[in-house]
Amino acid sequence: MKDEKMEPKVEKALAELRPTPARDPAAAARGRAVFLAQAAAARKQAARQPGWFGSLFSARPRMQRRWTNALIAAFLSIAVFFGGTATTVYAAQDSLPDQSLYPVKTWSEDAILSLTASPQARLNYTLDFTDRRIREVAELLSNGKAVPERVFTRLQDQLEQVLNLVAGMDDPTMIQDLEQIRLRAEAQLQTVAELMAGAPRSDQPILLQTHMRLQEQVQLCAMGETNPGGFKLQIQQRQQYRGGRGSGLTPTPDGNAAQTPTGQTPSETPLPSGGGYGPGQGGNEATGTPGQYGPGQGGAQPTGTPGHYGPGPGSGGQEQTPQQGGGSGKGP
Amino acid sequence: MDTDVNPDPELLTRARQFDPQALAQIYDLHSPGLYRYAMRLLGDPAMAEDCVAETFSRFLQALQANRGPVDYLQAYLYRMAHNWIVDHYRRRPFPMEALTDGIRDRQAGPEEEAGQHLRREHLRAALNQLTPEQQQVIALKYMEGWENEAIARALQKPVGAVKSLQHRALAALQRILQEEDVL
Repeated sequence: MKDEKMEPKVEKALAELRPTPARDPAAAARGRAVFLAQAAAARKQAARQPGWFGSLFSARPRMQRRWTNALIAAFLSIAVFFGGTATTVYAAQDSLPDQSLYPVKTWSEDAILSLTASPQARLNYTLDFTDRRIREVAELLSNGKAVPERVFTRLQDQLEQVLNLVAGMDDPTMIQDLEQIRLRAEAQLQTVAELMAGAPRSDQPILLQTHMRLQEQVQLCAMGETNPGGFKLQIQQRQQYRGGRGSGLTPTPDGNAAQTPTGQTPSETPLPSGGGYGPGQGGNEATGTPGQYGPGQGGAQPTGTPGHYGPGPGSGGQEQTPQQGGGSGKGP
Repeated sequence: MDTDVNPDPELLTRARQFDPQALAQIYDLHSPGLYRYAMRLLGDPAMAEDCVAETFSRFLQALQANRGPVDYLQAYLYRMAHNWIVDHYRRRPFPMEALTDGIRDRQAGPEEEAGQHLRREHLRAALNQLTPEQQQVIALKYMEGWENEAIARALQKPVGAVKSLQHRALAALQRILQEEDVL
């Protein structure tokens, strides 16, 4: 075989990488203990919950299934309308951000919104799209893949769009819809909290930011249910602030624009590191003090306030490891 | 040797039920090899420990989501570990600029050990220039000593595709090493 006739020098060179120093027994023991603690927490979680996907779907009301079916029909109509292949658009609906059909999926979402005249229908579609983003994150993480930042950006845009749409409705309808949006955001919040318990540290800051944004969504909805006027005013202020920052707007058939801004509003939660998606000053990669970020494996909710998760001891550019920190970011 | 360890078909079934003994057994069985694999590609004990920890953490996540390996657990774990390593280098590219000095001069005399270390870093840097799949096939074949069938399971590709991947990877690696004066 060709590989067996490999240039001997290459083989010899590769052989130099074979010897490895003995593993530090203390570090190995710590790693084992952390894993077993995680396993114990996972066992408890499995006993009381149906799992990420289960929890997501169990929280989905009958109304959502109806809209999902309508969504599929709409995808196919759009595909035919644009002369595209309906099969491709349909197949794209299950694609993940690291797959080639994913742009078709996001395009079809935008196309549906721009072709949908009814604000209520646009709201329902957009809510479904936020669920999709969460499922994409969960699937990528469970496949051991990094989650592209654009997934979170799109989720945040869609969360904002939901608020803008609901704020444009009459008060009785708005209050009814706000409850649905809040329930959906609470289910998403729980899913993100579960994801944080097992996600790699490099994904923790962005998950935390998403968690905080969802908390904000829940709070805003709760406020709107009791104070519709105040809610509309607050959403108007968010729109004005975002309007000055430039954003992508999804055109709608009635000529209005459903905002899909990309900037942050003053009331949005700041990034954990205070400026970028990285976790700390000095260019660290999710290397803050282990255990700093997450909810741990016991299913506790991360309740950090803005700034609470700040740079911490991660500043200075030194990568801190669980060994150095004496624990683990996903510790028990 | 065929190193695809799956000695007990019930082990995974028990692991799916989060049986502590099964999970501990899996950790003890695979963690040393995964650590060595990560060390060979990363060259840093702390990062290698991180890689092992994240690999097992993702394995648990997969079990929680009713996913993960149906069989061939070892192939699955090495694939997860390799994904982590690739992601790691994506986030923090290999510091090529630190390796710009010629290495042959450094190998002589009392600095031989430092020279060997530098040479290994050059090798890792060269491997890092291959595609992720090429890296994985080289690492599993020539550092871990896996058979093509086991590599095929880890890469989720047919054996024929693995052989051709190996051939291209070796040719690319040889070219890189020659260009960088390592060979």
